[in-house]
Amino acid sequence: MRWRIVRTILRRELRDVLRDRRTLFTMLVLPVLLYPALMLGFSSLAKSRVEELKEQTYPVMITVDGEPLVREGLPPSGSLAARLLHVKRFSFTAVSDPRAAVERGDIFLACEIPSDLEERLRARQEVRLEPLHRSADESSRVVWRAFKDAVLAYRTERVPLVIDAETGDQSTPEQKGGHLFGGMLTMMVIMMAMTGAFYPALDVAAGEKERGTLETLLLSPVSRVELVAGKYLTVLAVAVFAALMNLGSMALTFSGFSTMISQVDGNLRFSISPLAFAVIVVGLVIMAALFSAICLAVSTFARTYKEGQAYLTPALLLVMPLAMIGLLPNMQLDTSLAVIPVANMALLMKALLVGNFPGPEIVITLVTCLGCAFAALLWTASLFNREEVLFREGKQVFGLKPPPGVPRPERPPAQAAVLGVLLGVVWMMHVGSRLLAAPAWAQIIVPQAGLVALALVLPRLAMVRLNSGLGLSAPTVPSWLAGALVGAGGVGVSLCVGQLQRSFLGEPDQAVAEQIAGLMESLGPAVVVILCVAVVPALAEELLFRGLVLQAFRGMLRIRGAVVLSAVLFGAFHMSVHRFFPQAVLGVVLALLVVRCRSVWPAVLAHATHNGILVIWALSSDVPDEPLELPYLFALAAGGVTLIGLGFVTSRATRTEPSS
Amino acid sequence: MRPGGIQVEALAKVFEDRKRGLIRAVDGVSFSCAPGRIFGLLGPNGAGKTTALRILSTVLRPSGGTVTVNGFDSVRDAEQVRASIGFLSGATALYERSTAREVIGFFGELFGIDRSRVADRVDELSEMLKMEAFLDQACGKLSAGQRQKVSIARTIVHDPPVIILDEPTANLDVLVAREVVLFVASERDRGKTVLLSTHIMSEVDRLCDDVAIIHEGRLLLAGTKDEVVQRGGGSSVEDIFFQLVPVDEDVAGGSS
Repeated sequence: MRWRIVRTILRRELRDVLRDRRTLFTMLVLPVLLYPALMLGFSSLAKSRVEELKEQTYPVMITVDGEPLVREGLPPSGSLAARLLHVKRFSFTAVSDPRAAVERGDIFLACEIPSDLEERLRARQEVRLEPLHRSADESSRVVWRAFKDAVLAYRTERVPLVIDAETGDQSTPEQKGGHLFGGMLTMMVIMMAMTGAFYPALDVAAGEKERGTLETLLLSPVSRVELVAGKYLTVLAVAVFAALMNLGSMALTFSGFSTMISQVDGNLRFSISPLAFAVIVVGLVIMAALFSAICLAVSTFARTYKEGQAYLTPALLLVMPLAMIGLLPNMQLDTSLAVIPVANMALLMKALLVGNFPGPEIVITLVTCLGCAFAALLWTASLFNREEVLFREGKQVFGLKPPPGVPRPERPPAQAAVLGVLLGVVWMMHVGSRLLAAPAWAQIIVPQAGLVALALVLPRLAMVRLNSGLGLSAPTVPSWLAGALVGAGGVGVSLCVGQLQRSFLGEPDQAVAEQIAGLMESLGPAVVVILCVAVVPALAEELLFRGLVLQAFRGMLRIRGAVVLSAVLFGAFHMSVHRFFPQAVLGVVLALLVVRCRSVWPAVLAHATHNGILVIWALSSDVPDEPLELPYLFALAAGGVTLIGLGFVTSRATRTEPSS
Repeated sequence: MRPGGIQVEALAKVFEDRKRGLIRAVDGVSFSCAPGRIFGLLGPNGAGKTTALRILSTVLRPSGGTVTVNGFDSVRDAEQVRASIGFLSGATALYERSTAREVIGFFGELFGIDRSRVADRVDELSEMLKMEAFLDQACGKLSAGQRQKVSIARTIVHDPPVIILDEPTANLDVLVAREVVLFVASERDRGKTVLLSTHIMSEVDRLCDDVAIIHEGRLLLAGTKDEVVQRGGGSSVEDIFFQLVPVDEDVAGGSS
């Protein structure tokens, strides 16, 4: 790598970025104006509101033994009523229906005080006061606090036990400030680093592609590494500079604010020591290094500026919760959190601001963040070597439809499969919890119907004929026979896998099995049970996984890859560690069946047969909860039947259609 | 001694399109361009000209065959090949936010010219191409003709021995187009190897010493201009071209 070339590229890119009004605005103008404006707006608004609230009086209704308290009243001195009368903000009124009045907001608090309060307290009896108020209303809260203070002061008079939180506090004002503002500050610093990298990264890669200048650049005798280095340093420099501008403007604005706070509460101070400042700047640079690398990689991958924005905006939303982790209570950097990029840096910066120094976690944090940055840079460099990324044509990104001029595809695109599985999972999650009150048959049929709908609709959106897109063509007679054999043998296969797995993963959760058994019981006659548990799920899952998913992946991968990937997704779809392997193995067998028969229907039959046998077994067995113990001979037999089923059709199919 | 010019040997480029299958954009093309001559690559849109030229400039890798430019292999010595070529096409845009002077200077530096000498070189080119009036304006504000002049200056800033021009006069007004034609001729006279892709037949007649006609990725005819006219059995290159390349109504309507 020649630094002279990298510097030349860096210089030009920086000049170019600085001439872009968008970047300049987000980098310089926005931070310089934003914080003072925000501060000014907030503090003047808050001040006026506080003044208003201080001077205002609020109507309340306090009754002593049913008798409304009035300002002119003369309750015995030292009583709670006398104390409440001293609260300046209260104006005492009487209404006929206090509950309704509080609800309407006519009065802000209503409370009945028993007249024998003093006596009962002296007799050490518990007394409950149940004031009517509205906690969601800001004025009502002010009244509530005043009321509570008065009651607490009254109680302290009776029981003079005081905990002094301030005098014995060993935290320095700086540490307390760090604790209060540290999480907030680190979050803002991280977000600044991210937004600072966002626009320049889009500009130097996706923007350059869009403007057509990338090819000009690629024609120069510059290595791809030099190119990436020059562009990366540009993004990094802009991101760091923008974040520092933000930080500087924020610090200037808030230093005024924190002087204000320390006048109000001398125990709280938010000053930034030189050490803390160094921590923030270093953290900022590391975060900028990470985000610059990721944004540049995504931007290089994108065809256009807009496409890059479409990819990066969700990434920004993803980073936000990670950056906010410092705001959560009781969050400390430990070794497991230290491997999560961004979150680890947020916690580390906060810890350092409070004065903690977590040794090994610092190393893990730095290695993770910079490691991710380096990986993203390697990816970027490899993207610059990929012709299809540099010279991609067409506008479609996530669209299911084929671009105009291309004949209707035989198979659905891979994104239809991914979308189908994701939507299927989301659908099952949402609908499952909402149907718990529904009749048992609906609890099973409705979710499955959704899967069928997904399998039928997604190929249509991609303009694929259902027949070829899902493999719906009619199978031959031997294929049907093979389906039945594979289904029968598959029972043994899945039970064996389940049994084998129990020795590694332990017993599965019995609650689920009991729930299913209960559901089956409430279905009623055996015909309904078989229809609901065996036939319908077989149809739905086969159409989705051996139809849409398998066919879509076959358009992209070789047969082996498509079979395995569809099976893995099928296993994962069941969202249980214990069901993953049996279902995935079943998925492989069924997918092979579909590939051999060139139709999804034998797999539907196999799946239904498999489930049906298990259902009949469970119905006829007296103790259905017992896990089935299977002899190995049975396993061998089952595997044999499955293989015969698969092999039988293979020979038939190759005889009829030797072309494959 | 290294052979100069460009040698293209059985060049092939296959794109894999997920929806349309394999596309043979360039299919076994061979030709060579000698120093001091202008080689005209003729073909309709979509013939594979741009793909072939991109392989020559090393931004695409060939699927088969070899390309030698100024004695360097386009795959093995890609950076030396790029350093030997000045490449101009419709896809090589200029930085809109940079001035003409900055763009030419930037590429001068990337092509290895010393920073101290870059300014002199820019002035030299500016004088040669008559760009003084707009040298310090942002490229985004220039007219098409002015831009093309800046692009030409960018192309030859490092005084390359091989110059590849992909339709250099497209969308230019006649006066600028004439200047470009004169420039191409003068570069040839300075002993450069010039590869010119075009479909303007008057330019072919005026400029080209050697001609190759390419259609649907395949080379149909190649040789000196006279050889091509003779072998094609027509009166001019234009005749031969329209004999060999069937006029497709759909394509004929398209612009360059």
